[in-house]
Amino acid sequence: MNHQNRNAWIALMILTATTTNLANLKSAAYFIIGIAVIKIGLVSFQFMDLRNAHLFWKTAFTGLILLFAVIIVFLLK
Amino acid sequence: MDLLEKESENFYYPPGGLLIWIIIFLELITFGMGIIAFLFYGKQDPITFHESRINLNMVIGVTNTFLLLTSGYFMAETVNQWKKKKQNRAKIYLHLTITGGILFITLKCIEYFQKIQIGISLDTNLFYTFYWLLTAFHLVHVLVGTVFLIFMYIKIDKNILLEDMEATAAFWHMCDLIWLLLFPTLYLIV
Repeated sequence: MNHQNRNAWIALMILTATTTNLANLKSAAYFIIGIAVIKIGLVSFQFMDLRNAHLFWKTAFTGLILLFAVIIVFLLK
Repeated sequence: MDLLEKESENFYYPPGGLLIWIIIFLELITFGMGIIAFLFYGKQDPITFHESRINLNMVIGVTNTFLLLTSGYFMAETVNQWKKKKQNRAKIYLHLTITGGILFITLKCIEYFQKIQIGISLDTNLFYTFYWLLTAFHLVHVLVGTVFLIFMYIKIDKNILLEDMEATAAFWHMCDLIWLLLFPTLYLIV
């Protein structure tokens, strides 16, 4: 068993539970989007092994996710 | 020269292969645009969108998130064990991954059935139009991914290339990534 994978999974579970509890709070939308970005980062870099990919793929993927996050935050304003 | 070759190889062969990553980017852009359109129209009619969101089954949504992420973890472990040539362990993890996928599909069908029973359809309102289109399109991806995984499970005792295993894993994780974008926007923040 890979301990890094297991730790990433535990973090994902905790973050999902946190997000769910935040859902009913007012103006928590930004935190929820922030947590979603962290979760996407954990899945891609740890589970999909993106951390070992070429810098181009890491940058392109991170850029795309951040772009979506910024647009979503802008639309939520 | 060796370093240059390695760099080039690394560029042309991201984990799972170049083709699957092009697909991942295209899928993320497609779903991302759908989500942006959803939020844009949600801003035009916030009351309808908010009232509709409240009617979504949060318990199923959260459970499905846990299922998909856990299934993703098992998939990562499958590849990990496969790389270590521990075929039996890889098979167990792959079995668990498939189980996670099947449970996700089952729960999603239950959620759809509940909606249909109370008369919620594609044309109920704009929120539900997006809800049905985005989640059903995602469900199709999970279904296709599960079929790929079952195919891998059947073939695992024969010779499977690591690239094929990684590509299948990347497709499965892509379903996670899309859901991680869909779940908060549909169920939590509008």
